[in-house]
Amino acid sequence: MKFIKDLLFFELQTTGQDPDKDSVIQLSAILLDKDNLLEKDNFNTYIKISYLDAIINEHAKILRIDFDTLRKSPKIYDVIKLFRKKFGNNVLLATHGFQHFLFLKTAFKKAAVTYDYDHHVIQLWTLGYVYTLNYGIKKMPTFHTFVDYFKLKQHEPWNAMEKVRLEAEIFRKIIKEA
Amino acid sequence: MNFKKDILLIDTEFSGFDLQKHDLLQIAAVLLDKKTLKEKEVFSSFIKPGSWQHRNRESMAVNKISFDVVKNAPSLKQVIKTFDKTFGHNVIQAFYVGYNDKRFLMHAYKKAGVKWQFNYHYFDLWSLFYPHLALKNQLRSKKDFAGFGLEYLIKKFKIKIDKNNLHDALVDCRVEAEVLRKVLKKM
Repeated sequence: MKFIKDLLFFELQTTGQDPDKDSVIQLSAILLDKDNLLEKDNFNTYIKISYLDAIINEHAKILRIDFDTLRKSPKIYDVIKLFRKKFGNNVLLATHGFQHFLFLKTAFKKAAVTYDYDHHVIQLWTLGYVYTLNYGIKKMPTFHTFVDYFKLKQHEPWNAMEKVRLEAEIFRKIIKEA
Repeated sequence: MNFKKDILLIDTEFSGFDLQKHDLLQIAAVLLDKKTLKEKEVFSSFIKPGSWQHRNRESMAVNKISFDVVKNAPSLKQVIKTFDKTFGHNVIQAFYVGYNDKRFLMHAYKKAGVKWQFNYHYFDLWSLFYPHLALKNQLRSKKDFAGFGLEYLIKKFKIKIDKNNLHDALVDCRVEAEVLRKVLKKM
């Protein structure tokens, strides 16, 4: 198997479902080697959206972290700049579904950082759906369908870092077994 | 192959990439049977543009849509209403590298005042084709990646088509459907 570029799986924790109204409060990513799909590098940070204590508190509850950790976290501009700098743009982005991709693009826009990745993005849901169909799963799958199917465990559903590692593992298993 | 729902493969043509400035110029779709992937129903319509003067020259060079083709086409609202009624919502939407198609379509629904009632998941054909070719060791150079458009797929999967009609949205849908059938057969 040979992918042309390394794959950058990313996952987000957000304050809601609407990329225009809601904000990214955690951005996690892992870089997979194009030849063997092993993890080469990773990125994980919480994002402070506001200086208001009440809002920091509300977001800390979503993330299940303490107030001070989030208060000391960087703002979206710094996070996106760092994310872009760390991995460059010669990678193939990958994530579970369309909504996450919209959130990432909107975050780049909010941070006034040029989004200059290739417009192709691997969407895990599509691959997972076809794969599990071949093995008789007939319902419309969700992320949890894939986690269960591959006998993986999600301990912290609120944690984007754990989720992105699970996505990468699901991807490896599909590719290995396909 | 037995999908839970029929697959609605959609392709659009637009006059540029900016939702605020550019127009959706064509919507085409083919409904594929969930068991056989055979074509069950088809939709294709051009749309009368609202801001033709803002069209992007590069986009227009790809879609090759002239003003004569769209000047008497139905309005965006009419097209979206008809499209929405044609297939209902109990389908899996599918696109080929669908980010722009999907956001233009969602924006068009909003502009037309029609409620978006589709499942938020959509099937991205590229996400299937790319790993498939990687697994077969058929991605040999960076050129393969950069050129991974429909022309590449037509050549790779030996699909017969009049290349003059490529990038008409309905023709593109049918090419994508044929590649999907071939890939799924091999998986």
